[in-house]
Formats: sequence, structure tokens, C-alpha cells
Amino acid sequence: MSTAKKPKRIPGTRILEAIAEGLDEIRAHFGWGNFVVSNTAVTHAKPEKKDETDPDEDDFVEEDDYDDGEEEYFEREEIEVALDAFLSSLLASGVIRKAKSGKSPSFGRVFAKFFGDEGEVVDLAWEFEEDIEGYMGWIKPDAMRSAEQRFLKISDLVSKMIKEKEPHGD
Amino acid sequence: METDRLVRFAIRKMTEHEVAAECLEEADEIVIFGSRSVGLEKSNSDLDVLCIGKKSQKLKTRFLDLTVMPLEETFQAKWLGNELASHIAKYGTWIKGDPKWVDSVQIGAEAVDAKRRRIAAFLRALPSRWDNLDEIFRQKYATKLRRETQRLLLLERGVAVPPTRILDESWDVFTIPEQEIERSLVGTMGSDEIRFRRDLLDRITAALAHQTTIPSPLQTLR
Repeated sequence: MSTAKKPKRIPGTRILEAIAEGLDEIRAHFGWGNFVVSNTAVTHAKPEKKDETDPDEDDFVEEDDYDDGEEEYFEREEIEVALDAFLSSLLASGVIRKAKSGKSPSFGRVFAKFFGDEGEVVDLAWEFEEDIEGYMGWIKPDAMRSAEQRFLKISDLVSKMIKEKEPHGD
Repeated sequence: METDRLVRFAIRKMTEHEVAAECLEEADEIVIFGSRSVGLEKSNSDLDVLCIGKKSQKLKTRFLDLTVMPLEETFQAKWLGNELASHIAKYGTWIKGDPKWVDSVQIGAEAVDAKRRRIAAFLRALPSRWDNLDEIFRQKYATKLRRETQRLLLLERGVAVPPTRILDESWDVFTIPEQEIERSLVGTMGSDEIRFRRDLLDRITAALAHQTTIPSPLQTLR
């Protein structure tokens, strides 16, 4: 469980802003903040940033998963790809570097690198990553709901840190 | 890893964490699964453990991946038809208690559908981001999609999914042609993703070409 521990360190504004920007993009893309969770997928009551005439939209609808055919869901696979795109952008902008081991960076590891290995935001990042990952198709139905809650909390904590770094009067 | 050594190793790792140590005391069944269960672990492999007890819990550390589930859930159709249940039933090593539910395990249509949905979801999400993904992630998804398709082909045949290392290094023991992985993936892809498709398939073909058969104890798993 997450605790209200403060991180060991807080990175500079440039890094915080790069992280916040990536988190905002993910948040906007998935419209997090308005989930309905079904047994096998996550439904979203009001799709955001989606073209209603998109012919591919039906691909995202699994009628068996819920009663209301107007709802649509997004998958943890989509979120995983979005997270890796976010990490790729951090790599491309030089905010993070590739590990010598050749191991791909992970959401949790990035937070641990910048905020130290303790603190609420780091714990949340690891837990979020775990929620998204699942295991061999065995996913607890509430894992995505907790992923959303953790993501929003991470996002809020990072925004708060940026505000605290702003000089007074700005 | 022989059973006695595996048991000692598992107990040592589990006593390092409160939740896991509690399981050692209270669980009805404790099963080791994954690569360590079949002696195909690498030095940095984690220990996959299923504890059947009274509650539902999860613990993941660098060296331990523990799932705790209540006994009553193991008799539910959702679990018995599940990919993980079939994997554990076939490849698991019980270090405490007797397997009470394994005879009822049968891979269900839901497990196959779930795997198809997972692959399709990746194939929907990846093309538009492929060029923006770092090389390290492109390789990650090529590996992931290859493995998931291998798992799908097995599940479709009602065969329990083996530890990942067998998928990576000894796919031939299942006598399913490598070309079938590509056929299955291509069938799930859209037609307007040619560049993505070519890159992905090239990577998968290269990985399959480098497979080397794992010697015994794999042979006993045929």
C-alpha cells in the first residue's frame, strides 16, 4: 500500500515538467477520471478525443462486456503502449538514458531514479505499473480502477511539486 | 532445480517478506510455477508462487512474485478455465498441501478469447506509435507479440502454456510450425499497416531463427 511518505528528493523543474507533460498526455488520451469497470475490460462513459465517425471505433466495443452499447472501453495494452511512448519521449529528449544492461526503462524505475527509492509518488508508480502489467491473462477486475486512481494521484503529486518549485509571485 | 533445493530456496525467499511468510504458515497449498519450477531458471529469475489460503493478495518484488487467492476461488469456472491455472496445473511444483483443483482444470474458450483480445489490442495500439517508440520498446513489443501468439496457438489447441523460456528457446517441442505464428499475427493485423507489419515480422522471424533447443529437463515436458 502507498503511504504518505515524501520522496527522498525532488528533481528540477525541467524534469518535473517533462514528466507532467507526458502524464497529461496519457491522462487526456484516456480521459481518466471517469471509469466504469467491467469484468474483462474498463468502460469509459464519455469517450474523449475520439472521432465519432471513426470506422474503427467498433473495434473498441465488446458488447458482451456490458449492457449499454453506447459505452466503449480501452485496454491496459493501449495504456502500456502509451506509457512506453512516454518513456520513449523522455529518452529522446535526454531526460533519461538507456540502462547499460540494455533493459528497457520502466515507469516505476523512472520515478525511482528521479525521486529516490522511497516516497508516495514512487510507490504509486511501481503499483501502477503492476496494475497495468497483470499476469498471464489473470487480471483482477478492480486492477484498472486502482490503476486509474494511482495514476491520477501521481499526476496530482507531480503538479503539486511543480507549483511548490515556482517562485513566489509568479 | 531439484525439488528439495527448490523447497529450501522458496522457503528462504518467502520468509524474507511478511505477507509471504504468513502464507508459509497459513496457506492450504503453496505452488511454485514458472521457470524455477521446471529447472529452467536463470540466475536472475524471480520466484513465482501461488498460495491458496483465505484471502486475496499480491506481492511483487525483484525476486518474488506471489499471488494469494482464497480456496473457494480455485473451484470457480473462471479460474479453472484460465491460462494461469492450466500453466500451474501442468508445470507447478507443490511445496505445501495437495493439489485439490488441478483435475478440474480445462482451458476454456474465455482464455482463448482473452488472449486474442490482448493481441488485437496491442496490434491496434502499436502502429500509430511505432515510429515514436524507442528501439528498445519496438524490440520489447516484437518479443511480447511473438510470445503471446505462441501462447494463443497453444491455448487454441487446449495445451497448457509453458514457462516463457521454453517459448523463447524450444518452440519446436510443440511441433507447431514457426510460420503459424506469423500467419496468426498477420490475420489479426489491419491491411494499412505495412511498414509496421514488415518491421514487426522481421524481428519475430529473426528471434525464431535464433532458437536453440533447451536440453533436458525440457524433454520430460513434451
